[in-house]
Amino acid sequence: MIFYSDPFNQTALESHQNKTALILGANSDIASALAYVLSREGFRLILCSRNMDELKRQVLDLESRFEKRHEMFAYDASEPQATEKLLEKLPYIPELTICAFGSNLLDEKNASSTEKHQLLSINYISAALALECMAIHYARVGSGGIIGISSVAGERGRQSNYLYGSAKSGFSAYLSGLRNSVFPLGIHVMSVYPGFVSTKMTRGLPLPKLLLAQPEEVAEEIFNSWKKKKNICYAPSYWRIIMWVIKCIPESVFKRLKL
Amino acid sequence: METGQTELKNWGLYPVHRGIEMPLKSPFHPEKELLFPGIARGMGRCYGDSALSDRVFATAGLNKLISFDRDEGIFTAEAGICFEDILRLIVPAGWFLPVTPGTKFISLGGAIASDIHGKNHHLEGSFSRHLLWMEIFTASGQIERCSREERNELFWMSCGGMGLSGIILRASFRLKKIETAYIRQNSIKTRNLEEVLKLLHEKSTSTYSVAWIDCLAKGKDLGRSILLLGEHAVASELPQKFANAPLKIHPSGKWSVPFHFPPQILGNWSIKIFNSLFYNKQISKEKESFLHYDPYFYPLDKIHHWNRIYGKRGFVQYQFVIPFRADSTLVKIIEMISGEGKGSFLSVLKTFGPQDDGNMAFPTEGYTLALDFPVEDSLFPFLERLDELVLNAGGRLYLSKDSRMKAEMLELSYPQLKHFKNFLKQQGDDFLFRSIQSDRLGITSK
Repeated sequence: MIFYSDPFNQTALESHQNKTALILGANSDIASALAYVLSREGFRLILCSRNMDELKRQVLDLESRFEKRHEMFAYDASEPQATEKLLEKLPYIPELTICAFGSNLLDEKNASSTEKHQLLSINYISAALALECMAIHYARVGSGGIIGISSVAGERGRQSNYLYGSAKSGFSAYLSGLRNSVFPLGIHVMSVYPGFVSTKMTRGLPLPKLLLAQPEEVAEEIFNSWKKKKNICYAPSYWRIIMWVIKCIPESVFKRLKL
Repeated sequence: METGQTELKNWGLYPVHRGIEMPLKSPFHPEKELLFPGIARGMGRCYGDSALSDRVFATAGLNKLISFDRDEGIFTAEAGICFEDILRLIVPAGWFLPVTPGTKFISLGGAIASDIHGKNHHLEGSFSRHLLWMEIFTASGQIERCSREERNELFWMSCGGMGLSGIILRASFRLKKIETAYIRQNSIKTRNLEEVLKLLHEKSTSTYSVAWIDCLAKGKDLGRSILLLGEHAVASELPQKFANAPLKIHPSGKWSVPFHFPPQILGNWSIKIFNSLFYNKQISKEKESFLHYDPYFYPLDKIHHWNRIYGKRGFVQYQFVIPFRADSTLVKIIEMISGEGKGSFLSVLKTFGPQDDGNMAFPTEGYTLALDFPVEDSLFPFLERLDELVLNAGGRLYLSKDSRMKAEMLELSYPQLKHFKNFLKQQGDDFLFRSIQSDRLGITSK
């Protein structure tokens, strides 16, 4: 019997062999692409999401591809105590946590207040609470790592999605504060700002094709940045330049733009 | 969520149809949206209009692996999985696809619905021969599992059934054991058609065999070809330079044709030069070499969007099969093509073995020739003349490449069509699964 070995990255395969990661919101397209990369690189994963049917598909796929056991748990991020409860159930606590859940609205302006509340709450409150819980655990044991998937939308509010953007902005600020706070303990926090990515979440949005990245390339970028211990990862990386330009525009001009 | 209409086209870029693309999200709960008529679509690699409809059910998201038995070589996955992805997994474990077409960018579901064939058809049959079971979302609104033993009518109607029996959601098939990822290729230069046909028969014990034929050569050179024979290389014969990674997979990078070529570029002369270069590249009569499976099976996959070289109007691929006894028709067809100077880059000639049990499967014993023609107004009357020759010789056309055949031709050339139509009618009078091809050909009409 010949075991599958990754032909691209033999050395990485060896060095990540005993690593573990927890993915919250594992059914998002970016998260599942990231799960693929991590699994390929030898990580053992705990995948968490609301939809267990979808999780089963993913776990079965990864297990049969890379011949490694992964765990899965039902997890509803909108519940304030969700992460604490989850931690009690886990067979072990992985050394890396990826917070990847989120949601958006196709048409923010015409959404109901309940929908808006959900949008703001899941993208900011739930995400921050989940990582708070993990950070406390990591601080106690003195090691760990955190990746938070925020968005370029959080870098500057624009008319088409500023509710989503403002929640992500809050999450980005949270991540930077957390990074600052746990750095002395040797815990690394990386913020990820994906640009336009072709996912379930963006389907139906009129996004420019040229700038539309695939979840797979975003996942590779995230993993490579993590290996290099980057603090902020734009994915794909050219968004660093795009966002720099966008942030440079004076507000008096920006407010007139149709972005 | 309703997405708007988009312009849909398959690999030949012809025809173009405005339709709504519905991504299938989960194989567990077929969605309500499916209650509108439409057709499943995987990678869109059929050439014509088989996967076009007012509504297409995109299976690209159903791409998860279910199991891969590395000891027995049994592969089970969702139907949207791409052959390229399958190869990545199976080759390092010492397995290969039992049947593969000339591109690795097709989906498993598409392979079944087209009952694809490869360079080994004369010995190993079409894809359905290696298929174990599948699950189909049928017009009854249920997911039905079928195999040779269980619901076998549904099984055989779906192999080569062009997606008209339902949406294939999952399938399991048997792989082929290999020792290395390399092919020992023997290429033989032949002077004309007579010689290549003779050799195709003589070398029929070779696992893979196909001839690249220069259809523009005339007179005594008519049908000059390079016959490519191949065997999976065994580890002991592999040259030193490949021996340290005998089960290497294909690289992922590739070149791309960034835009549609203007029609002037692909004039007759450029095709002539290309074909001539290809034929004359090999100086010796016979040459043996070791080749990775990627350039051997998928030479055109290296160039992303190669279909754009035929320009914005697209092209038609014409593939027919005629019985062995009709070799004089083959000569006549090639004479017509070279006589008209209808440009076709290297055309592919091969022999098919006996037909498999798929009800509407295309391959049947005989010669098959596949030709590309850029779309132009004069093309369609010309192809109708070819149709007549093919029909009179007792041959038929491949539905996965077709975009223009007449309904009468289909009726006369596929004897099992009636059976197929009856089966579809039993499934539901309103034809939940239909394409603009099946409507054009009268398969899905009352």
